[in-house]
Amino acid sequence: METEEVSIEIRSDPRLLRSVRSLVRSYLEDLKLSGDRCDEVVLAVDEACANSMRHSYGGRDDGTLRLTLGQQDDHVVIVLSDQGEPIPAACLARKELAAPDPDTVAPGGLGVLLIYRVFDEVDYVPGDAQGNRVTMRLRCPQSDSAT
Amino acid sequence: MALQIEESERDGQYVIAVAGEVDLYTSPELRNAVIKAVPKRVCNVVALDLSQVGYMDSSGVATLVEGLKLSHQKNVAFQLVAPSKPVMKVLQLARLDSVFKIVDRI
Repeated sequence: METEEVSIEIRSDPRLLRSVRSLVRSYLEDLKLSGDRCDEVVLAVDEACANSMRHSYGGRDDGTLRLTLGQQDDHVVIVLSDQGEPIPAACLARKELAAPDPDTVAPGGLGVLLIYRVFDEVDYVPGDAQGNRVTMRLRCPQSDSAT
Repeated sequence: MALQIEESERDGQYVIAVAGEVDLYTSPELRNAVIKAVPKRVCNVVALDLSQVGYMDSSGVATLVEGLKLSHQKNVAFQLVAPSKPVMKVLQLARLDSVFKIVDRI
């Protein structure tokens, strides 16, 4: 059973990313995540929001992003959805970099790669005509001690 | 809060000292400073002091990569000075920490 605990709407303005990071950080601080893990999740959620602003809305600042934070069983579940242009699935597939070579780094794909590296499960669903939705799940350490 | 960027020449190095949070909103400012500094060629080392950076996302990393590539083209050395913990974290997650020359101090 999923419990959606926090839900906010954000205008697609990169100026607001800082506020999103503060909110996500304060939500995570109540869970038993290590400081390092918390930093990573804040980064990955920021990357998801930034991708939506840049790619779904093409840099327009009048779109809306909806971010929900919640828990399901032993996972933290974070969902980001927008009503912008559907992003081609190929752009959102997990593509590992072959080697750390700056010549092969395509900056655009770096954010997506970070999201996959941070979360245990990432599920991108581009809409048919409009919008995108990404669900990011992270196993919460609380459940480890409960066994 | 805007990014704070201070540029100076010290001991033959062109130093760009960055303070604040580097994200999609602020990284164009850093990019501007880096792409202007590298081709100046008054110094053969461009050093980015990242010790006071409280946050960096992939757009910041992309800016660093762009600076590195541009430096290679112009035969200028490109160094990251004392990257803060958040900077090291994102470089390590991107597995790009090893492509940069990282030094403790200028």
